[in-house]
Amino acid sequence: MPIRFTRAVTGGPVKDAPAVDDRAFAMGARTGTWGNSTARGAQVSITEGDTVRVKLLREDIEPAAQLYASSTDTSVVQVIAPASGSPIPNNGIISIKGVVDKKNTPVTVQIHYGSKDGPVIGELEPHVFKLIRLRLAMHLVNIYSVDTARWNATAATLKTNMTALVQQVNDIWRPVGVELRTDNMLIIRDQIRRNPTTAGRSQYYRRSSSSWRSLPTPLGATGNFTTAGTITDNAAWGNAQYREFDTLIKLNFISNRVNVYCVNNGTGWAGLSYVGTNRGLAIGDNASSYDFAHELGHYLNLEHADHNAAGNDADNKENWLLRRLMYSDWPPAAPPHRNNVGYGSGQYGALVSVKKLPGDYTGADGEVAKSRRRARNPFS
Amino acid sequence: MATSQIIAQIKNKDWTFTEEATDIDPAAAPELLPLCDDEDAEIRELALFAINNIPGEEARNCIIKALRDDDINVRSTASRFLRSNYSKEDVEKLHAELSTNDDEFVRESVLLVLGLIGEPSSIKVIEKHAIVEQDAHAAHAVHLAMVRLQDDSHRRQYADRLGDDDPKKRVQALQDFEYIQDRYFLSQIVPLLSDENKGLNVGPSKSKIWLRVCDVAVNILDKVLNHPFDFEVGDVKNYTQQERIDTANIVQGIQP
Repeated sequence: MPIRFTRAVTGGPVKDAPAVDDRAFAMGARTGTWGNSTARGAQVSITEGDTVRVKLLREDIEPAAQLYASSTDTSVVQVIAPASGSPIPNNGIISIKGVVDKKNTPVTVQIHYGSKDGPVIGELEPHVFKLIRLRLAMHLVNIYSVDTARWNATAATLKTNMTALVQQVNDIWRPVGVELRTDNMLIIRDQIRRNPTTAGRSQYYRRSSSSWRSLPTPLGATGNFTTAGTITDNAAWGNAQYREFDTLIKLNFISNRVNVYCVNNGTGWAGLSYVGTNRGLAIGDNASSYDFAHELGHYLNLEHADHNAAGNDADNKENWLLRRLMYSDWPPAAPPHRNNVGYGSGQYGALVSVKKLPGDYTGADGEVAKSRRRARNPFS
Repeated sequence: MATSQIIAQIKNKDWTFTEEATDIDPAAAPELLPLCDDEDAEIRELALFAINNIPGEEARNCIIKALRDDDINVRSTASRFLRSNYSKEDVEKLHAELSTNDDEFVRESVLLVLGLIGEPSSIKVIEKHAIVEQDAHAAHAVHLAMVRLQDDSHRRQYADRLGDDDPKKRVQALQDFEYIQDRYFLSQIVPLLSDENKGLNVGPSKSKIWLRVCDVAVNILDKVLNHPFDFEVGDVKNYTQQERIDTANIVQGIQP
């Protein structure tokens, strides 16, 4: 294999340097409207109108060999840099623009050896997508006087901080053609207190009536949150294990928005979300932007990438899985050669898979197509 | 909220009025409908939220027109509203939409609505379309619509799905019953009330709270039959054998 493609940068996600789905030369099962293609190689997703960078790696070819990039359909994808007729620079960086999202019009970026018309020695298939924009409601939750650390009493600072957090999530999701809007983001403070007149019960401050009310189900009027600042889940509660979470994500729920509840602490989790349903998702203070982006993936109907056929998270530490945003959990004892998969030491990756490959757990691959479909109608 | 306030919010791209159910005075239609043609896609999308609350052909025409808006977010919202805002009078327009709209998500919504409307003339239109439909979800919508339209082949196929070897596929067939809602199939759902295979993970991410096929069956029947059971139903509940027997007895007493 003379060359291959990879992300243009290492370290944290960067909006214009998307993860490249370079798992195998096979292109996998193609979404019905992607058209057929003879290309073999990596795939990458791009939002229509965006210009992104990818990196060409020389694996088994002379460093001095001159290589040139071209697009097979410049009405769909254009090679912006290097300029036409100029060789790819030593750093391997190629800039490509997603011109238009067009059905059944597969396009390939081809790498030519020796001249711009030389033999093709490698291919990258970009997929261009129109941008789906989702409205957002960020809930900053206070439970028994313990706020999430993300809370700030100064409105301007709070907005700045929330915007910065969401923009980091967008750095991961924008190449998929999905974006959380920050321009009209709602920021809400949710407060939960102990019922002042009846022990053992909690109340929440209901925004619409500006008054304290009993909790919604499943905790309900007689229920309470266990611990200040914490959303507790307890396996001893059986199928009601997540009753505190289920109650939390109903509080001041805003229709027609993605509702994200920021809490100080979740029992053993950084983030929690149901898969493919219009219910809120939660992140703890220990959640990174990756965790938030991961939970958004669940909200958009994505399962864990390391599911096995029975739907359990398999004990699989293979590199290709560790690079995926929807990997379930960083392995506690990752061997050194798996410690850094390009996003930093001990950090799992941010690839939302473009390909749908055979052998991957049915439904867990082809994440770009799957999440975009859910993003078209997430509020029902 | 006064209609004038809603219109002002739309023009200011203020989404506040969409947070709760809002009554819109039908007399506001002449003022609202032009917003569907605004040059700003966000205003067009917001206008749909208001127009969706107005009865009548003009409002429905606005939604149908928005199905081919240039903006994907407008088309998505129009598709969503179409699923609950349709009329038999719109069938011919929807037939035209099905054969000419290049957005697979729109086509999926149109197909489902044609199935809900139930006009026999849709059968031939959908049959012809099915040959060229490339999108898997829209193709599934073809199947669901045709079941509702009483197409024998698709009805047999649906019955087979209820008896699939894979419990997850049996669950998917049960979930489709919420759309199909045809009592003819109740006799084939009853046996699933004894199906204790794991079928659906209903926990949040990381968790494994499983419903069996029989639990899903009870929940779907509860919704479709409008809550006929004496016992409490729940999204994460594993029903007892007695509760499932009671369910079967009630269902078997219902005429197809």
